[in-house]
Amino acid sequence: MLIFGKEINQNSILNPNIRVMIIPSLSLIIIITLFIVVVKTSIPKISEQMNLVKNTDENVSKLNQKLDILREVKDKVLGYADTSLLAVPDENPILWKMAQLKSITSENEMHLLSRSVDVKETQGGGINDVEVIIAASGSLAKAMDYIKAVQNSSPISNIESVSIKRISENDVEVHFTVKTFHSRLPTKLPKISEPIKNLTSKEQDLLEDLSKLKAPEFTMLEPNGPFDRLDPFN
Amino acid sequence: MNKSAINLLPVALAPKTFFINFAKNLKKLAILGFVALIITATVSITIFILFTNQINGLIKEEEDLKKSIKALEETEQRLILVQDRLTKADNILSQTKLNDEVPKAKSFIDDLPEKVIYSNVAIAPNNFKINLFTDDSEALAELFTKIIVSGKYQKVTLRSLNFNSEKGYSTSIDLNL
Repeated sequence: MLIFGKEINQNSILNPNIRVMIIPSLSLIIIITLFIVVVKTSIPKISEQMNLVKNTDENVSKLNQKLDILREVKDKVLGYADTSLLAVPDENPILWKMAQLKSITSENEMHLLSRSVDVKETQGGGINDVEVIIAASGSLAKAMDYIKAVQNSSPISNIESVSIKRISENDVEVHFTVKTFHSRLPTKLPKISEPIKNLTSKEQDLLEDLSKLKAPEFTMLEPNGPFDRLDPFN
Repeated sequence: MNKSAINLLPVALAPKTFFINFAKNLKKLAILGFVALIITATVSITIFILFTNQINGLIKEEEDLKKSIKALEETEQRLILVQDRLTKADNILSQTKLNDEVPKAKSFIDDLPEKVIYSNVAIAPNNFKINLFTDDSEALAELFTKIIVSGKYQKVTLRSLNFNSEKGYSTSIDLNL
């Protein structure tokens, strides 16, 4: 068949119905493929970034909260640390506790009859206790004040039972066991990104109560150095 | 007549109208798809850039905060120490111990009738035991009346009541607070 002078073989060309749809169909297929590629690539990336933003934002708010708490307690925490460390010391406080008991005894006009110390093994929660068994005599009123003063001294002193014996019209003999406690300091700091809690109202109240306990006169035994003796015979 | 409107192809070679229309629709769909593709790509890139900027800002803020917290490390150590000590103090204070039993026992002794004398007092958490002597039965009756009327004790247990013609009455009482 001749068209415009050219021989066209009718069998060699595609069906015109199909030929007219080839370009639009191919274009559509390519665009759909590209669309799927774009969507499949961008959605996980965007979702990953959204998660990263969410996590980083949470971290930032936790750190902000932590920083606020630290700034808030910065000025007060030194006093809190002193009070709480006196109440539950990190080392066995028996030496200064004994000195403190002696001074409480004399302040309350009691006469110390005997005292002995019994060191116990670790209790639950890493708390060790030391028992001081005391026998003292004096008037009933002074004995009661004495027991109360021992209970209200720092480090925390628990008295489980008291026995009072009347020895004369005015005097009594008291026997009781005082338990004092000590515990090692925590050795690990939490990670910087871990949140920190401020002191709860219950903890604040407890601190208030602990600050009312009578502090010992000394908590460190300084070594006694050699001194110049002006008069070698006295 | 417009030159392009003249169809020189034989009718047998020309596509059918349905296919021409279908092809036109496909072309329109392809154009729409292309526009959607461009919009999707642009929006995705914009969101990606915005998130990247936001993440960079947040990471910088996080680093600054970490530095500030590091500078307050000593405060953090102390706060953790305080919390640790308070937990332990609370644990210790929750153990069995005397609270206000001592002043209550003293108040009981102070209120004893004149002729009643105590010999021993054993004070324990929530109760105390007392041994008493008297040579006057009326004083003893007065004591029991006082104990009952006061309403201070949850439970009163009379452990013993003895009479000896030489020493008089001796009694042992448990008082639960």
